[in-house]
Amino acid sequence: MRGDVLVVVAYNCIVASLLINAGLVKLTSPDALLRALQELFPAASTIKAWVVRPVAAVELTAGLGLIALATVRAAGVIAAILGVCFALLGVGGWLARSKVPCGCIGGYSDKPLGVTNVVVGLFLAFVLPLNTFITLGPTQISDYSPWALVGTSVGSLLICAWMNRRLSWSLLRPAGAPASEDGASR
Amino acid sequence: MEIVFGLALLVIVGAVVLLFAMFGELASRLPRRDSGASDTRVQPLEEALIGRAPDTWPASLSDLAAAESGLLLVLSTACASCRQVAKQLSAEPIRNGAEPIAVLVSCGTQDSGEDFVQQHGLGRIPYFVDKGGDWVKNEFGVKMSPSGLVFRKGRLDSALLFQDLEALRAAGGHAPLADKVRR
Repeated sequence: MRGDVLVVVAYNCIVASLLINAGLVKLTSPDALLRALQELFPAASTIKAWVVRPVAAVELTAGLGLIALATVRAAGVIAAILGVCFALLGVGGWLARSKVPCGCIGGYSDKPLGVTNVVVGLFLAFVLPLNTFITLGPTQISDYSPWALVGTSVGSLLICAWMNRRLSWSLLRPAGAPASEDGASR
Repeated sequence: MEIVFGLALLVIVGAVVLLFAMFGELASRLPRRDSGASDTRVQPLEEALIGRAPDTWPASLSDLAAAESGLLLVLSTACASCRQVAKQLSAEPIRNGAEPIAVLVSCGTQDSGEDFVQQHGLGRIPYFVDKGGDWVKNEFGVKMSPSGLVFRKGRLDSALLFQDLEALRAAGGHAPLADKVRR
């Protein structure tokens, strides 16, 4: 595989992994992003959690779209738009000195909207020019999807492990007290 | 074949990510063990049937049905923070003339519910042992505990999920917030 093609495949895999992680976590826990948005825009307090889920579906679609060569361009456009939105939200959070954890990229942490979102947003947005300027040759086309599938799987797993490292550690360390069942559904 | 293998791998990884997302959501609902302070978050219960007046009131909760406003605390024998709330409640003095307050204990058997009431000294407050939580679930759609149900003239006015009794009082007693959480 040519060096520049390898870069494209690796880059697409990382972007797809980020989007798949972000999408799956937003589908499960839309509240974190909602609270962060409400801190930035008080008018967003009327927004319900179900509004966030279509955004998560778009992220998932863009992530999966980057795996198949036929849909890479379209998915790249969506990923770039999402990236710009992330970056703008990051700038907003940074200027407003946001303190509410946003759960961004599926992270179980106290990190609010800020510089990290700007960096990740720009990283996502760059997928569009990269795929526009570097085209795959006919010999690489058949190799793209198998590599993209494996690369995205490994990338998703690594990102998930990294973003949930605190949660994993808290589950793995010896328990000092019995688990609480607060808010438990009876 | 490579595509099939890759797809299967992606599906499995997706399931792992989803599992972690659920763990994260679950963990975010629990108070942090290392924080020391009690969790003062109060959240509206989305599934509660606001505005509903029950078809029948248990005899022990009849004060709530007749009162201008009152509070029903839904506790469960299977929930750790419910025991904390029960301790807070049992330590409070009874205030004459205050808005009526009652406790609903959701439990597997009548005996375990009665034990919970006796163990935490809740007998001095009107209480109702709700086997399986059926009454509160069927009448108000409430399946979570500890939760506070605020009634006005016998109708459910707001339903709040909480961890700390003082935080619940602060949320329910403050008119703008009460309006905010009411749907």
